[in-house]
Amino acid sequence: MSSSRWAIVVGALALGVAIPGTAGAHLERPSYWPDPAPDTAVSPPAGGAVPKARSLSSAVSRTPSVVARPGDVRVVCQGKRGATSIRLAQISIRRAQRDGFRVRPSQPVVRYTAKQARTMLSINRKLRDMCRFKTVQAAVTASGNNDRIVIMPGLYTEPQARKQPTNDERCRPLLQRDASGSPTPSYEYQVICPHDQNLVYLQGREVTGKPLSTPRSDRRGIPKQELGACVRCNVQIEGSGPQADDVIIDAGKDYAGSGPEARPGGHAKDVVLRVDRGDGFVGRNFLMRGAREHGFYTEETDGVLLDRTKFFWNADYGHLAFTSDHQLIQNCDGMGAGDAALYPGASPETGAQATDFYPDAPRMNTTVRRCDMRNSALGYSGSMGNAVRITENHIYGNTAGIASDTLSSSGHPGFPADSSQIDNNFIYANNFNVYSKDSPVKPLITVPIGTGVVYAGMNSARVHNNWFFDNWRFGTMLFAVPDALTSFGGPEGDVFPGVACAGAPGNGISTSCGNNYHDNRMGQVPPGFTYPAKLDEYKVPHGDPTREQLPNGTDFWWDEFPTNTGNCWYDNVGRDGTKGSVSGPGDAGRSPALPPNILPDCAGGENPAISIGLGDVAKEQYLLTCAEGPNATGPLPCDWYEAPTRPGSAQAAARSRAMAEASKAFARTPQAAELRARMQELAAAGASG
Amino acid sequence: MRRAGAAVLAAVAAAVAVGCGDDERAPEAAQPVGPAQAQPVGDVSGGSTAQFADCGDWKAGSRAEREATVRELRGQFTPQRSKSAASPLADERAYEIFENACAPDYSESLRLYKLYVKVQGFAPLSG
Repeated sequence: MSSSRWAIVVGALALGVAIPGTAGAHLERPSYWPDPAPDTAVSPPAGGAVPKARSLSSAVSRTPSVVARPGDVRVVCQGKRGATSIRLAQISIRRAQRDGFRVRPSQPVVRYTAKQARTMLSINRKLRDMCRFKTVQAAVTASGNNDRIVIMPGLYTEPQARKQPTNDERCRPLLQRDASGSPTPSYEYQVICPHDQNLVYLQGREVTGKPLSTPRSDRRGIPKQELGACVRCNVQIEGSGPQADDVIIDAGKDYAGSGPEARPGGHAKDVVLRVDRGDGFVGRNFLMRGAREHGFYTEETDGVLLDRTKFFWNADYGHLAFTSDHQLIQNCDGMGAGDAALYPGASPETGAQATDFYPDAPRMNTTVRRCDMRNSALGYSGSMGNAVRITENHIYGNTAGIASDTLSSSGHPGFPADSSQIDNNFIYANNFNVYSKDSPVKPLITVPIGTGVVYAGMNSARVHNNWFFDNWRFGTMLFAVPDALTSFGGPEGDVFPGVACAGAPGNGISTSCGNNYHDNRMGQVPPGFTYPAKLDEYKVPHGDPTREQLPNGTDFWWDEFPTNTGNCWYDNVGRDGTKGSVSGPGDAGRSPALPPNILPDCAGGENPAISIGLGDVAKEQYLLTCAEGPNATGPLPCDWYEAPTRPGSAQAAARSRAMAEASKAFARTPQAAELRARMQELAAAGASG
Repeated sequence: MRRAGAAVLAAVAAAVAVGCGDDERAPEAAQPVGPAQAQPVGDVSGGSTAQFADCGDWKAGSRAEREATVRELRGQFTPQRSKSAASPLADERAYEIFENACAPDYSESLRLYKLYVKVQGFAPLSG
């Protein structure tokens, strides 16, 4: 190793230099993780586990054992005596029997049998007779603990909620201060002015005292002074049609096109459905569409099951969960998000940094499975996405598939992100150029076009047994987000022990350690695989899936950040089925690695201690430039916002050569020398400090 | 209602300062911003423009409004109670980055705060 390279290592050790993250993050009230134990003040207890859904048929059953279940059923419908809803139900049931439908675009068509059709029609007729509500909000407001709301087919625009003012004067005094001292709506604000931001609002708990004037640094447990009793815990909301599209809760307006995937030209409210401290919530079989921010939004909630829900054309996030525990999102479909289709952020510290607040840790606190996350800037995102499992999903047609980061620390407790698990997914054709002029999705964030997974400051993650193919820039990216970058004022809330990077957080380098990538298939197409039609519908570039190989631009990219340890890539196979065909940073020539290197396999994962980042000034500069977004003027060009070229093409090869040459040239420039000097200077300051 | 929130924002700042009565109040978020009382660009939501301000707002704003926007973002993303709360990202540099990033037509919808949190930490290296 050259002395100059060691200098960079030493410099960065004490410096905590800055690398860009890519997840979008967002602004929240000072937020706390709920007590993970079940709340036994209600019966059955709320939270403490992922809630179980009650069947649709039980809503109309007269069987004593079923009726004996706690909670009242409220039915929402449209038309005089539900005439519109029952007509829509009949049409959809008939279609489900005749033509079938897809729960999500990547899955085969399912068809109703005649018996299923008869049963569904019978249930809906009974529901029509039970219907007393015309709006979802009215039914929610009338509900209490353990109650359930069944929504019959129809388009629910919630006219009364839409009429309510934003920035409501009545609630201005209920703004509270976040950790930065800036105003933000408190829980009480949402309760008193539920439609200031939300189309439908579910208040889970009573309002008791005021929020703490200064947020508590220990975010474990909602402060008792403001934690009221359950008023709407264990609530279930579900649609009664054969498919989620049959019930649309809609915050949009001025639509272009028709059908469930019609695109709004404007937004009436920021959020479609907000579930606030609503422990034990079940949402099933409906579509949330057209919000200025998020389709589904839950905060400080213990116990959430979302099953067969859809999130279309919500401008920021399709789904957003924040500081919430015991969550399962499954069989979902999300698209049209300017940030991410799904986002479980600031999730509890139930992984490597767990404390005795979570006696059953380590455990996954949130699982996303069997979902399509597509046609968005990001399929999935999660700042401080601790201990989230992403499994058995199809993630395709996005600008980048998955991003989880530590960057957006402000407002996001749980620093640094750790213990994410991505396994057994299909991650492909994430080449959606959201930055083109004619993109139907309007980007809110800056992410690299053509990338499968971006970990920007993640620890102790496992990425395994996935299929990554046809992502034209990178299969996966891993890079550090040193502490100085996170919010330059320190992380939000306390940092708990268990940070994977040695010496952290004291040494200022707390991220990008202990990550394992193994048993992934890179650049191979699964046998019998076909691409969902949604790729072509939104003009996402992709290869021919009838081929056996559709390579990624570079399979694995790592910034090799100095001192990062324990990052291992092993037992992965490349496009021809061999380990040797896996492409790493520099090997494919598409990344500014100097020199090209082979990723550490840690003796097949048995010896992670031998993986130590050595630093690469060209890579750091590449990231620095790209972090500044489009049109940046750094000394190395950033290609993130240009449509990537098809791997293997002459144009791709030319670009790779150009990038490699630019990287080598940069390393010899005065700017590179200055960058090294700054690192050394800051390192020296850190050492003396 | 792009850029319609100046009066709302000022009133919100005053209301929060009165409503909470916290002697640890962060001065930058509470006090009127900058020269000539210019207000940040973007719609007010929840007492701040930070959530929704985008490149379209940026380009429609005056220089003074843009500068106020940078100050607003700095205030939002600098925990004032932290001992290390001095921003390493100079306002002038943030302004320059927004100017560049917002220039392309396709940038109209980019949220400024999402970009800000990415670039703020680069100051130690970017010189």
